[in-house]
Amino acid sequence: MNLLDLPQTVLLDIFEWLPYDEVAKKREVCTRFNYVGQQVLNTGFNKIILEHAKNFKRIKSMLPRRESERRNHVLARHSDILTSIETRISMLTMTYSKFIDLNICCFIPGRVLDEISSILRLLSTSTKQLRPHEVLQELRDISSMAIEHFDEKIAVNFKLEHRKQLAESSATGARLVVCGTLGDISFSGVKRNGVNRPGDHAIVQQAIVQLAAPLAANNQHQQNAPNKERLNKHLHRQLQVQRTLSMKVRGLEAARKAQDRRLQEALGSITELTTQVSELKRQLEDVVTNLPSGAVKRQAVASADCLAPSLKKPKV
Amino acid sequence: MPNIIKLQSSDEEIFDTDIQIAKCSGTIKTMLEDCGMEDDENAIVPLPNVNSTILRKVLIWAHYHKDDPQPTEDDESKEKRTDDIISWDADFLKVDQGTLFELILAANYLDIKGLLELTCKTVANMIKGKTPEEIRKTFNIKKDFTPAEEEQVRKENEWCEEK
Repeated sequence: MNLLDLPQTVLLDIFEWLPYDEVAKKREVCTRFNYVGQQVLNTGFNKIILEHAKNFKRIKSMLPRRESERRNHVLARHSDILTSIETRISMLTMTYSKFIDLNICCFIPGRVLDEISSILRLLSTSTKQLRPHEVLQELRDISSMAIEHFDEKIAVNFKLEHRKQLAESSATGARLVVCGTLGDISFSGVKRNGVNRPGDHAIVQQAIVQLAAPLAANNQHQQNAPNKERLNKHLHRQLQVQRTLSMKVRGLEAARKAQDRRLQEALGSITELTTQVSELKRQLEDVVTNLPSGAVKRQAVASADCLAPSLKKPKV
Repeated sequence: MPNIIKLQSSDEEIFDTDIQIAKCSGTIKTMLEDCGMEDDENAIVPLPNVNSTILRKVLIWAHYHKDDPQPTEDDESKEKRTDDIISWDADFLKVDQGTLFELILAANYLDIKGLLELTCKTVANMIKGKTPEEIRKTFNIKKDFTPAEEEQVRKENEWCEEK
């Protein structure tokens, strides 16, 4: 009995015991290993997203509600680290998810999954103040390496294949989910083939019908010359119709491409803005804590409960 | 009083087994409970997917581990440790690959979580730290990639290669 005779579920069980980095490397053994490895990596990525969300929820529930108090809480660094991981996960999602959904590739960098889960484990076992920079250094490095390599070396080769599949999936009216974690931004693809084919078909049919009449007339040997002229005119008109139609199709395609690009840009700026928002929040809190104590005291005396909001509002 | 049931392997050998030990198998447990066979002294449980050699080994394992605590469900976050195999289990699994894989199949079919985990860990340990070529040799696997596929996988993994 050979290892590959084992059913799929059992192979998955076995691979689950390997670190994701090993799973990724073992894809090179044979096609079955490759297939199983891809499944394990994809589910691993989903598991990490869920695990992160669970951890984040737990930490958030342990922090005080007021931002000013939260800042000095023991778990404040935990929360910072989880926010950074969230950003990293968004970037990874943007890089890989559409290709995973289209079944062109799997979540390639297993080592990134191992790193994230080891950080999450550290966060759930330790309650002492952590240094975000030290904890996140390795994750930042390797996830950026993975994304860069994917964009430069791998994705370029997928582009052609991707286009084809994109056209197919949009022709069947399938919705393409571009980015799962960013609130399910999705759009219906343009029915490119749908526009193209019936159009061509109609032109041909029209031509046949319109040609049939003059040809029938031809058979009767009546007024040969005017018929020919009419035929020529018909053909000429059809040619023009075809030209305008193909121009429209080209226009639509260009518009679709432009939309694709804009969507990508929008997604990019959303993540950027998210990071900026959390950065601004942090700065704001620093400002609050560093305010001259006199001013704080006076306001605190006036109305302690309104302190945080009244300072925050003008800035936001 | 010790309650005994009869388990029948695929090659029709009968194993008189303590009901508590047999019940470490989720499959047998459900079978007994759903069919109301627990009180029937002469009931025979047929196990057509397990032969006598493997069933004997499974029962030896189950007997040794009969007092183990039930495995807990929430194991999503726990570390993937494969170096925590106790020495009795390690000795128990000093068998040829064929037997090991059949034990996995039996554990999977009989739904014995502990044994499935142990056997899967053992195979994972055989895979760990080996190069693809060594794995092919160890498990007698043929490389069935087309050159293009192999190149693609290799290229995808290039991102973290140590320089």
